[in-house]
Amino acid sequence: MRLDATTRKTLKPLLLMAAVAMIFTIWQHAAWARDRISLPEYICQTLGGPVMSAGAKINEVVRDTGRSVFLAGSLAAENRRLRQQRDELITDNILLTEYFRQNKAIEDKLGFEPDQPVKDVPARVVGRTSASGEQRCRIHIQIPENREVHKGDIVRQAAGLVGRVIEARGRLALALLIIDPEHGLGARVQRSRAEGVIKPARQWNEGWPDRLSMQYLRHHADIRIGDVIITSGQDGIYPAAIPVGVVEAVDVSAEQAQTVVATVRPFVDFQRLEYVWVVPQP
Amino acid sequence: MFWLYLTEFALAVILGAWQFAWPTWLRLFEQPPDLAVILLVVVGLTRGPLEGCWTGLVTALAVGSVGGTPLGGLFVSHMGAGTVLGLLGGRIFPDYIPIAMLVAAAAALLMNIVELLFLPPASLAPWLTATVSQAVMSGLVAAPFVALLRPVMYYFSPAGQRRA
Repeated sequence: MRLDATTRKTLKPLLLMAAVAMIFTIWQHAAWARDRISLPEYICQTLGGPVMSAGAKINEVVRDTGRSVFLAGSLAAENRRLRQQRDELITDNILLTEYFRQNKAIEDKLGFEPDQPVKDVPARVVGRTSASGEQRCRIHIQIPENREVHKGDIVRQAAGLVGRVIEARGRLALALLIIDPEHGLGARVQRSRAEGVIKPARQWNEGWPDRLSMQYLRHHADIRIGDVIITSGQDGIYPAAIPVGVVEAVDVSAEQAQTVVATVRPFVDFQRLEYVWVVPQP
Repeated sequence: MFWLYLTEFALAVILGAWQFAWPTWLRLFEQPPDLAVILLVVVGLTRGPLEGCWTGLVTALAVGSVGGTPLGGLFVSHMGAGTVLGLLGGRIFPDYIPIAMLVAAAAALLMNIVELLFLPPASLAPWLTATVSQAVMSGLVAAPFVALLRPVMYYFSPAGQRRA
């Protein structure tokens, strides 16, 4: 079969591009096998980072403007309430400063070591992965200049645990969330100290799961609705005592007579992640 | 030609990264639109199979790199879609935006099905919801993007062929 000149002219570059694609794919797999990323990926990530950052800023401005317009009335009332709270907090702050000084004086007398300076890095969430094919739950975060994060660092909010950094490059990092299907962590019930493993709940909420499941609890484990779940520190990944969530339901089915499974509502609202703290690994 | 290919690469990186930063309140069942598919539709229908395939290559690279997903399936789906859309270019009227919206939705759906073969999901129901949501979002969002991107593509056409 002989191809005409026009077809040959089109086919040649198409085959060349297919070969380039194959090379990039092999390059990526080879780099991933060494726990690194390939050069083409690095270039695209470096170029795409500022776009995601700008996108996140625009989203914030648009959302805040829209909220201000639609909620003008209630915002005035909220502002009054917040002013009142601010005044109360200023008073509390004065008291706390006084307690801090007293505490410091006592520590000095007792010869306590001074506290380590805070090393937590604030980070802005600039993107999120929701690839429909594999339902990976990851976020892209951007850290301030002159700060750095590393693979394995813990990502959290004041409310509780968010996940951990799995890739860090420059000011951008990729974090795996605790609701990712492949994620697991050692946890314990704060009240009874019963230990188990936290995984995402199987019932997916048509997209990102918003519930966790505490598994491998021993039979007759002391766990109740309303119990607070914290990290146990037994997994070698997360330090102990970081809040994870609150127990919503406890299931002791006949099929799982030897185990108890609890549904846990995370403290962190994963649908509305805007800012997080990156805590260096101890 | 060099500038056209460079522009397509730049657009692929911008749109590929932007879809990850797409606002959560503008998502359907947590799914952002597939902006890379919209670019593929515009380039494919206005330029031809060669440019469609090139755009498929660079959009797959951008989406895969930023999202941290394996590139193999993305290359097959994106480059295949770009080439097919390029071949359809002469048969589908590219200036009619509703047609472009329908093509974008259909392309997003078919590309997700192709990627399913390379990376099977853990369970089918959430995948189906996510795929259909993404296809619908891609179709809806295609309108303004096609209107904005089409003149850029026509800019690189020979003077006699410019329609915008």
